[in-house]
Amino acid sequence: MNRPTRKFNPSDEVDFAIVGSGAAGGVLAKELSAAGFSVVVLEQGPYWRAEDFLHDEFKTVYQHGLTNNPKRQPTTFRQTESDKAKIQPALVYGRAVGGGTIHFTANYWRFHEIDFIERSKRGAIAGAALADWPIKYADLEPYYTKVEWEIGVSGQAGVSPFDPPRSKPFPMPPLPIKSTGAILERGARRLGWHPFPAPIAILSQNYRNRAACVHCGYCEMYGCEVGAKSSTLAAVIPEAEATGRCEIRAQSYVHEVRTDSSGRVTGVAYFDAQQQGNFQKAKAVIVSANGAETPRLLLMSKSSRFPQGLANSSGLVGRHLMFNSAAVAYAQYEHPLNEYKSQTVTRVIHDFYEIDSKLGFCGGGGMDMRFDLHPIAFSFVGLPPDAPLWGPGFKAEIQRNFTRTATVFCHGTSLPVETNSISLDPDVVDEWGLPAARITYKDHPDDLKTCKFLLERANELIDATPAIKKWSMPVSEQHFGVHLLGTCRMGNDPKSSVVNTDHRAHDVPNLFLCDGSSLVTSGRGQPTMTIQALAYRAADRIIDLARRGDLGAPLRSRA
Amino acid sequence: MGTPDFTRRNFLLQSLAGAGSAWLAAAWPEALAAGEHARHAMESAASGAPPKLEFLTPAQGAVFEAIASLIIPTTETPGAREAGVVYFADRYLSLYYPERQKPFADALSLVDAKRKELFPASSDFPSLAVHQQAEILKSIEKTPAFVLFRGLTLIGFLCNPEDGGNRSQVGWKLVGFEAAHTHTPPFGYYDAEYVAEQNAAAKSGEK
Repeated sequence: MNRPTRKFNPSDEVDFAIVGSGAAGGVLAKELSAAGFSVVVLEQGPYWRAEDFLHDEFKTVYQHGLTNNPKRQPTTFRQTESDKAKIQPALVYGRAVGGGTIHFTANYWRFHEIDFIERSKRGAIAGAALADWPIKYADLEPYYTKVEWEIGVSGQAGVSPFDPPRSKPFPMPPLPIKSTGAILERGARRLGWHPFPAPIAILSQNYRNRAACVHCGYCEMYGCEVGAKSSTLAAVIPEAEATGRCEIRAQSYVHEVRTDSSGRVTGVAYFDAQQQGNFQKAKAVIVSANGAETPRLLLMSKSSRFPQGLANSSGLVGRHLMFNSAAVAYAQYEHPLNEYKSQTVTRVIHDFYEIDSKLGFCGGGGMDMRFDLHPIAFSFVGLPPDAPLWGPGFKAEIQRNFTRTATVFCHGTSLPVETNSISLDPDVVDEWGLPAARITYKDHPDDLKTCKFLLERANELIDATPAIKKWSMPVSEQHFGVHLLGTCRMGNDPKSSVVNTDHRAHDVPNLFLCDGSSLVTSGRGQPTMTIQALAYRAADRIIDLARRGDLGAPLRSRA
Repeated sequence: MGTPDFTRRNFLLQSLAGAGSAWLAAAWPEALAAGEHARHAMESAASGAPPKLEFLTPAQGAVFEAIASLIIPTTETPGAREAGVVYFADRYLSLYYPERQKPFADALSLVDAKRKELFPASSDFPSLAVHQQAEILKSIEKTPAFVLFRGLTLIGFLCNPEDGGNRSQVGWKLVGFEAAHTHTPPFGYYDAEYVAEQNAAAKSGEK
């Protein structure tokens, strides 16, 4: 594909170096380059194009075609700080141009007002560092709307009575209903609940020179080969490149944000595709590397001036890690659902977004119905526990049930706990010789109670549908995260937060952090929409600061 | 597969990330190389030449194929044998997971030891009667060897045919997975019913 691409020399001092091209990095690259600034985006992963994406479960999912490869970049895990961490895959993140927006499911709920003020509303929670955000839903609302219209989100406003206020309808109608959506909607109505069409960052209609979804069914864990999924790769990176002021430099693994003697950032050191060291000079740096890689990079960027790692005078870089809790109930139906067709989710329930505080725990969640297992994964984990493991009985089970199985997926709160963290493993290194991310994580007891509550509702829902069999896994502690949140939290007080409301590091005037790490609370399980709303807001704030010369050396906008 | 306390998401994602299970990582270039390998195999199949094993010995291949067809037997519909699961396993061990070659060899040795123990007069696994083979497999059901055999069989049965198994899409056809680049609504029974009712309600509203 021919695109006007600008190339910079690493020795050119660009206005902004952005680390990461995912949900936030892609948006910032487009907004800053469109505003006239020169931008280099350094992305760990390769630059796949839509036509490179495969309908191949084994290669894409099991061979880590689009995500971090635990063989090359091991992680270690422990539950508490007194344990010795063991090598085990403990997180997944998108490792390609577009980051996690390439393989995500594209559920695009907004956070609700409660997510920003839960501490005030609920009071202190023992064992949790629950805090209000320094911004409110109303501050973010224009940017939620901007996400919907800029990247393309399908949905229907005004159906859910629990939706927070919005200034504009969705730019296009919801995607066509699937069998799980129809089953959920009828069951939920029977229970007096309020199902609504899922807001999804996949195009239901042609939009801005992009084609609508063709319902191929390779969404969750796959890249969209027609560009209908609103990844940053499909939606905003082409616009960033078209400005002629933005270079996307793939296979560039940043391992240090460097500072000078005055404590200002001077650029980023990275390994290129040949694992050779390079240094990109920049007037300001934005780290949008995700809630694990952002704190890891800051902790690796130690210097005599910043002995605890960069931007870490609070000691909170990497802390308050939140995964979002989850629970799943299964059901089988008499007739084929064929859930492998089309995108994943078509109806959602928010009736339990705020669980009654009288129950004695803090949390809430959303529920949807889906069956997101392709044939291989289905054969491993899609059958009930009493199904045979092999032989004619096993064969009959997979034959009958691949098209007839559904799950109710519950997405819940993770409370911020200070000891849940990303840190540098003292012993384990990756293929590049860099310290592995060490994950310390133990769910807050309220998170497990939230999950149990949601799982009970999920089973009630299944009972209100024509299911012929149901089962679920017990709620248990998590050892693995796909949502990586809260590790450089936003706040007004430099002692209790890492970035301010402009996403500027409290400690470093020309360093910004914007991604899942900025979140103060976890929401109820679908964070990417909020990460992108923050990114659009951060872009406005950063452009304003840069134009005012407030980043130290004045940046001159050429727009 | 998995520990008693796994949540389904943890289990799924760990298996996706390659944890705990046999399916550890390989890099993308290797994946492309395997695709090439598979294409060559298909080309040779198209040219009439029988596919051949490139890593497993014929004897190893025969034992694994017999085990795979216990796991997904040939009935009135094709099973693991017709899907060419053994050719997927051959590629899996040579191209993707060379570090699994030793565990695979150990797993075959375990099967042979069980055979000698249970059927001392027999000469090899494939020549046993199916119920005798099943007795051996049953006796190792709780071992990592079984997990490896089962995993290779399932993936080889249900993978994209380009990866070397699921020949003529027999696995996909069995489970009802229609491989198409586009689908159109209605997708299943319940959404078709839902839309029909909505349309009927809209029509009666017009009257």
